[in-house]
Amino acid sequence: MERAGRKSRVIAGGVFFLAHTLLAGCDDAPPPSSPRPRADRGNVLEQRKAGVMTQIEETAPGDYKIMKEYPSSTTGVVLKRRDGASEVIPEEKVLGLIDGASEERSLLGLGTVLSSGLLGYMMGKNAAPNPFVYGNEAVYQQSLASRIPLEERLREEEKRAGSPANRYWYGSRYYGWRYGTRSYGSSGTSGTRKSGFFSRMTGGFRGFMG
Amino acid sequence: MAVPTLRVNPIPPSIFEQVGFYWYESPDNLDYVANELVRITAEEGETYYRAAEELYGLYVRAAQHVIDENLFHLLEIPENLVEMIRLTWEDDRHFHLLGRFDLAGGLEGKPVKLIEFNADTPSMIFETALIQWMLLRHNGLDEERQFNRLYETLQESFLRIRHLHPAFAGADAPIPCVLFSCLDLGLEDENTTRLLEEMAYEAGFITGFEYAHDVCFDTDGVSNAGGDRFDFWYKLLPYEYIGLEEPELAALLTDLLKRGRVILLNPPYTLLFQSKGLLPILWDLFPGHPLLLETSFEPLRGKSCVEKKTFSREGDNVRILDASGNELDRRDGDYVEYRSIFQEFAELPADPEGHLYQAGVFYSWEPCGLGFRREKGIIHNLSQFAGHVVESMLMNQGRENGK
Repeated sequence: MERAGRKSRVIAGGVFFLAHTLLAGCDDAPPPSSPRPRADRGNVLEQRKAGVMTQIEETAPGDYKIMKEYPSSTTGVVLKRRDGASEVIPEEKVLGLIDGASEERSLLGLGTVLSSGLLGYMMGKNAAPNPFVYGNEAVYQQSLASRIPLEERLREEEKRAGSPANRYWYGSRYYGWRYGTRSYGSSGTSGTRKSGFFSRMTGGFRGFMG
Repeated sequence: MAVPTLRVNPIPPSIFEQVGFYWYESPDNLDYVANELVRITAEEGETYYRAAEELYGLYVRAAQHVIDENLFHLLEIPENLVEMIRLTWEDDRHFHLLGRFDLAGGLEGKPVKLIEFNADTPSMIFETALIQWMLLRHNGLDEERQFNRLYETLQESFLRIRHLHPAFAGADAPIPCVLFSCLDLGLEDENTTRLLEEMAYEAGFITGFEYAHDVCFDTDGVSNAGGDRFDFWYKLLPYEYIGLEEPELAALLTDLLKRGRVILLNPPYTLLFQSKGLLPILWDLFPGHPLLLETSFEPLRGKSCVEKKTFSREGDNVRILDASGNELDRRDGDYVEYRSIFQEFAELPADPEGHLYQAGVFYSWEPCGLGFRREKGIIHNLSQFAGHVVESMLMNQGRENGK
C-alpha cells in the first residue's frame, strides 16, 4: 500500500510497475547474500509478451472505473482508493479477480470492470471493451484503438508458439482488423528486397551509442 | 566545495536482470551504477533544463546556417547523406525523437557549459529513465524528487510523431507501425532499443524488433525478415556509418524518403547536431555565449583545451592539452581518421573521492531527464552512471538513518 497523496511513476509504464513489484518483494525478504546465477537472456523486454496495464479508481464504495489503460509487455493493475491510497495488484492476483467476476454483485465490481476492459478483451472475456466501465469517453476510445497493437502482439506470440498457445486463449477474440497501412508477408513488395547491411559489423564491434 | 552525494543501498542484480538491465557491471568489476546519488537543488535542476532548452535553439540556428551555406564538409558529413538531411530538415513529419546534451558545470556554483550533443544515438536512456528512479524507490526516497520524465516524455513524443504525420493523425487514421533495430552487439544496445520499442508500444503503435542485418529494403519501403511492412524505422546506427560503410543503403533510404515510403528515427538531420564539427560553428555564430566553450578547428592559443574528433563517441580519441599544447591525458580509439576540433577545457565538478561529474540532459521536444556520469579522469562509455535526487527534508532523514 502506498502512502496517501504520494505520487508514484508506477503507472507511467509497465516496466516501472514490474520494477516496483520486484523491489517490493525485495523489501519484504532481503536477497540472499550469495549472488544468484546470471539469468538467461529472457527478460521482460525480450520476451515480447502481450499484456495490459490498467489504472482503476474507486468511484463509490465498491464501485470502480478504468481511468487509464494501455497495451504493455507487463500486465498489472494500479488501484486508487477513495481515500487517495493506491494499491498495486500484480498479474497473478489480477487473474484471480477476473475469475471471481461472476460472483460480484456490483456491475462495477473490480473483477467485472477488469473483465469488461482491454485486459478482459485480451483474455477473451469480451469482444469489445464496454464503455460503461470507463471513467471517460477518451479513455474508452483509446482502449478501442489499443486492441489493434494488442492483437498484433498476440498474433506474434502465437506465431512464436506455433499454435494459439497463449494461456489467455479461451475466449472469442475478434480477428480481422485493418492493420494500419501494413501489408503482410510477400504481399505488396515490389522490386528486389535487399538485406544484410551491416552484417560484417556484427560481433567484434563495440556499441554504437554515445 | 565538493559535489554532495547521498549513499544509497544498491539494487540487487537479479532485479536489474528481470527488468532487462544487464550492463550493471563494468569490466573492471566496479559497479557501473554508483551507490551514491548526486544531491542537487531544485535551482540546479532548473538551470540544467533551461540550458538544454536554449542550447537546442542554438543548434537549430547553427544547423540552418550549415544548410544555407552548404558547410557539410566542415562537419565531415558524407556526401551521400546530404540529400536526406536536406529533405528531412524541411519536413515536419521528421521529428527529432531524442538526444542528450552532455554538460560541464551546473554544480558547486560552476556555470553550465556545453560539452557536446549526442543527437543521433544517445546512450544512458535506461539508466536515466528507469534505474535512477528504482534507486529512489528502493531507498524509500520521494519518487517525485528527481528531474526525470524521460519515459513519459518519449511516449508523448511518439504521439507527437503520429499527429505530425497526415497519414496517421485523426481518430480514424490507421495505426502506424514502427520497426526497431540495432546491431547484434550486446544487450546494452539491444535492450536500450527494446525499451524505446516498449514506449512506442504503450503509446499505441504496432511495433517490431529486428537486428539491422535482417531488415529488408525494397522500392516500397522497410520490412522485417518476415516481410511485414513498417512505416517508421528506428535504428540505433550512426548515420555516418550508413554513409561510409553502406553507401547502397544510403541511396536506398534517400529514395524511400523522397517518395515518402518511410520515416527514420532519429531523422537524418540529427547528424548535423551529432557532428562535433558544429561546435566551432556554434562558437563562430554565438561568440562568448555563456553556455558555450570556445571551440575551433585549430588548437586554442594560450588556453588549456580538449581535442576531440568530429564523430568520436564514448570518450574515445580524446586528448587534454595544457595552455602550451602539451598533452596531459588521452584516450585512444577507432576514430583517428576524423577531423579534430579543439574545445576550451572546462573543469568538471568533483566529489570528495575525486570523481568528476558530467551531466547528461535528455531532450525530446523539451528537456526531460537528468543523469550523471562520473570518472576519475576522462569520461567514457564505461564510466559509472550516477543518479540524482533533488534535495528535500528527506535527505536529512536519510542521513540520520545512515543511508
